[in-house]
Amino acid sequence: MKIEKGIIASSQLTFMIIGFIQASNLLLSFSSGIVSHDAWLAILIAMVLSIPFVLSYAALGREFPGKNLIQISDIIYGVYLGKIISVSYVFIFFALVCQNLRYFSDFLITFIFPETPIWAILIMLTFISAWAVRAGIEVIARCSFIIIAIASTIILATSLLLLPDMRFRNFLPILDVPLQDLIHGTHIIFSINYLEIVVFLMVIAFVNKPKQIKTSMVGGLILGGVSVLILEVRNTAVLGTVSEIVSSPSFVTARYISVAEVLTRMEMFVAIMLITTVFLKVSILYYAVVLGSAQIINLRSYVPLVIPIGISAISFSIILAGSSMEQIHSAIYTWPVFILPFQLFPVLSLFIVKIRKKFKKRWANKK
Amino acid sequence: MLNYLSKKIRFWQIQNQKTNHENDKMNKQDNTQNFSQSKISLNLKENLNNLKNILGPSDDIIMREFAFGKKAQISAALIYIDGMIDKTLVNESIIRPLMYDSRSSFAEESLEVKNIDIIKRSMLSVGEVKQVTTFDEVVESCLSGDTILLINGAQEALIISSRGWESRGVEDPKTESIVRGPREGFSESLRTNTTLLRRKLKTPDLTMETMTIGRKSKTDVCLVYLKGVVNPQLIKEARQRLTRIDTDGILESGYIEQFIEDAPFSIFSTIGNSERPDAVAAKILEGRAAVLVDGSPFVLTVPMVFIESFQSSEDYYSRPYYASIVRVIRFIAFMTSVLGPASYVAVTTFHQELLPTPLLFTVAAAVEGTPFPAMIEIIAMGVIFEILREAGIRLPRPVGQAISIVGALVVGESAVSAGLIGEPVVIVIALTAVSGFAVPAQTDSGAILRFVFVILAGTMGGVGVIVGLLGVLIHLASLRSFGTPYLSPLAPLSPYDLKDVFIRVPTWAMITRPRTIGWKNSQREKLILKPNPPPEKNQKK
Amino acid sequence: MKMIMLLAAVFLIIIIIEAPKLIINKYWKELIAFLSLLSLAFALTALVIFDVDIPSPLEGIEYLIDDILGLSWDRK
Repeated sequence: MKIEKGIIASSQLTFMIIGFIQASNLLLSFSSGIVSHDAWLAILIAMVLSIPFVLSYAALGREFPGKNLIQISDIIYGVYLGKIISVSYVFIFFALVCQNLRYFSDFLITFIFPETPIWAILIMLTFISAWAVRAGIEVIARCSFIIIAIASTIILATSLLLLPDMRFRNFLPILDVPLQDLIHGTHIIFSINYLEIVVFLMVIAFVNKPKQIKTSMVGGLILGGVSVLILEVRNTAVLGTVSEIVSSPSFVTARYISVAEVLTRMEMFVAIMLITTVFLKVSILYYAVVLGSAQIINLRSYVPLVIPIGISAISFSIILAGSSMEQIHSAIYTWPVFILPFQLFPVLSLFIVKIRKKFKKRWANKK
Repeated sequence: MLNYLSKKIRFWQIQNQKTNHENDKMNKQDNTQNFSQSKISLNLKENLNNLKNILGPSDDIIMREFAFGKKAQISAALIYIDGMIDKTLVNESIIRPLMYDSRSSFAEESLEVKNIDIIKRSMLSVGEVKQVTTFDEVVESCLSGDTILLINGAQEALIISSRGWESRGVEDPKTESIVRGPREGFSESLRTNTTLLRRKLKTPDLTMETMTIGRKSKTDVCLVYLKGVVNPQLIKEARQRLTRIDTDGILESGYIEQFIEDAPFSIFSTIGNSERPDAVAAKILEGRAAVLVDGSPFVLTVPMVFIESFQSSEDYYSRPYYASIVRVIRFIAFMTSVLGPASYVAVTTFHQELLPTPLLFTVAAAVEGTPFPAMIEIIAMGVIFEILREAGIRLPRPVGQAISIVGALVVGESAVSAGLIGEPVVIVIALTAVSGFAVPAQTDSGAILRFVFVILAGTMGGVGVIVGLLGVLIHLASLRSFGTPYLSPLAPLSPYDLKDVFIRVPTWAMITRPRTIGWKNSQREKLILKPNPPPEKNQKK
Repeated sequence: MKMIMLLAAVFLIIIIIEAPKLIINKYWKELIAFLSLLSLAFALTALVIFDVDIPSPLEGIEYLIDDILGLSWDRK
């Protein structure tokens, strides 16, 4: 019995990935503190590096059409090992939900709502994501186009309005940082901004045309990556060295917009963009957690799990870190290392599958 | 609490079993009480008595007994309902031929044959005549305005179509007035309405399936679609949902709407309605189906998508540039009407820094000294506005206008000068009220959303509003209307259909029907229809 | 104490909203999963409300990566 009946178009998969990556532009500050004005280079390198990984995710999805990560690992690694892998992935996705919720709530509290308690914002965000998750993947996918249309318009509009404020000598000298720092910054962007789309292994099973998964995933990655790149270039060009210090450069940059002293205070639009895209990202991750855990214990419907998992996510986000600084420290130094194996693991699975297939063929030929 | 829970569960379980039983029982009761399944007998007197029993003592039922034939030897009776028949037709085409012409035209031998067939074939000069044998059919058609002819010695009755009653003529539609375009609107009579549609689409493909719904009201409901264009799945679904309805009366198409809609708890309507034949014809041409209900000038169209609320039939009659601008303005107006008060509340209570400084001073000066927080002011004014609107609609027209103007002036002016509310609130509410009317199809949902957003803004500020908007987005994205996603063509995106969303491309460029609705037979016009002036002729020749 | 009562009320409302559908459809397994996850969530929330000092999982990860595996970027 199928647990999710919805199907999504491959174009919607692209939109979802774009929105997913756009949401993480809030997290750019992790690396910009390390690579300073060379962040654009790190973003570019990370984007190029992540393409083969995304391709291999897509290939893994193609090997098992209509099966998602949980079912795939059951097939490849057998019932017990597969279950362990699935459970650890579900925990990782859950941790990602909490990380994103927490970081974004901290951002909102810092910049917009200094006096609101964190749990109020967490409840609001989780509630709206839970609503989307209950409605199913189809609805999330449908929302994605409208959300990225809004977000992209805001990114482009603010970038255009900021053109007069940009100082491109802020980028000089190029490659000013030691190689180790560049690698470190690239790794952060690679793991946190891009390869979190490993979660789409839970989603690509529902795409109606499996042949187009590869193009739409890579297309989404590149388009999303380019929009993040635009943002980073804009931030560095406008803020210069300040962008290393502020915790949310995109938001702060928008404050510089002033067209004829009338069109000011555009950061509200950036906030809208952030809220909508973060909502999309959290919904997708949340959906993956709920669907994954329902599949692990073999349920007929994932809907009853939505609310309990949401409440746990709220509590966990509060427990997660004492302060946002703690979280940022972990995100810069340990989290990318911790999550990397999970992002590389599907590539290993793909290898195993390919090799097994080859051996089977050879074996069959010999017979 | 547990007690309540178990009760609820038991109730649901029982409900499922009960409904079937109940329906059967009720149907049976109806049949035995009102209609005798029995056949018409040979004896006229007996038949009339039977009919009198069934129809009761109502005095608008006329039973005219008479005799005809050369020697007036055949006794017969006409039964009809006064006021529901066309009197001239009954007098001139039924009674006159039977009573006068029969004396001269009947040959001797055929007189002996009390054959109802001959009368039907050669005497009645009426278009539609049917032969029936049971009282069931007799009573039903009599009640819907036909005339019944019973003849002594015949086991069959003739049902002569003679419907004709007082009805409003074809008038200007009251709700969707436009500047350019046809001026006719649907009226209450089903036949008039189908005629209006048939005159727009003169093709045999235009199919009208009629069914009778309502145990007591026996309302004629007509499902109209264009064969070959409409998705057969849609028609099947619509038919199924219509036949499912089992209620005592359908008095307006709104009844049908609430019985067949996809999301009964949503504040958004998933079924469109229109009073304009041209709008309905256009929708039928796009591959939609229309549901006409006798007694209502509002025709339902399914499936409905959200974007439809922003389209007006005039968009297609005027030239594309201005039509596109107007359409964008409608979107802006809708957003203003929904978000205007909410953003005022959010900005003045939580995000004062968002206002440019001079404006902030102006607003602060105007609001200074008012006793209530912005949210209370806005909600109160919003409620007052809704009251004025409602009163203005219900009161007799001349009084209504005066009342609403006076009410608005008094409430607005004096409340401000008394220092109860600030001027900005009045401005915001006025702006909201005006913009709300720019999108007539969504005024009801807009009004509800407005209050919800004001409360969200007053409690949680701008983030609350955005989260609310996301909620609305999720809700809209999860709606479906007869299988078509409500937000299509935006979500799921179908790029070809964007030609009619924010912009309205020229008519010659609207080559395809909306993909999500009229997927069958998608091309609606020839590819190269762009008007080209003839090449300039060579002057020399 | 007031807070825990409020919390219990919220969870009870959630159960009342969710459970009847599951019972009617005879989704027993789903009901068990729902209830057990919900009680886990309740425990977590109660801990948060009572300000019990729970070690952050991020610290655990840091310990694992930094002190056991020695892979952290934070050691120049």
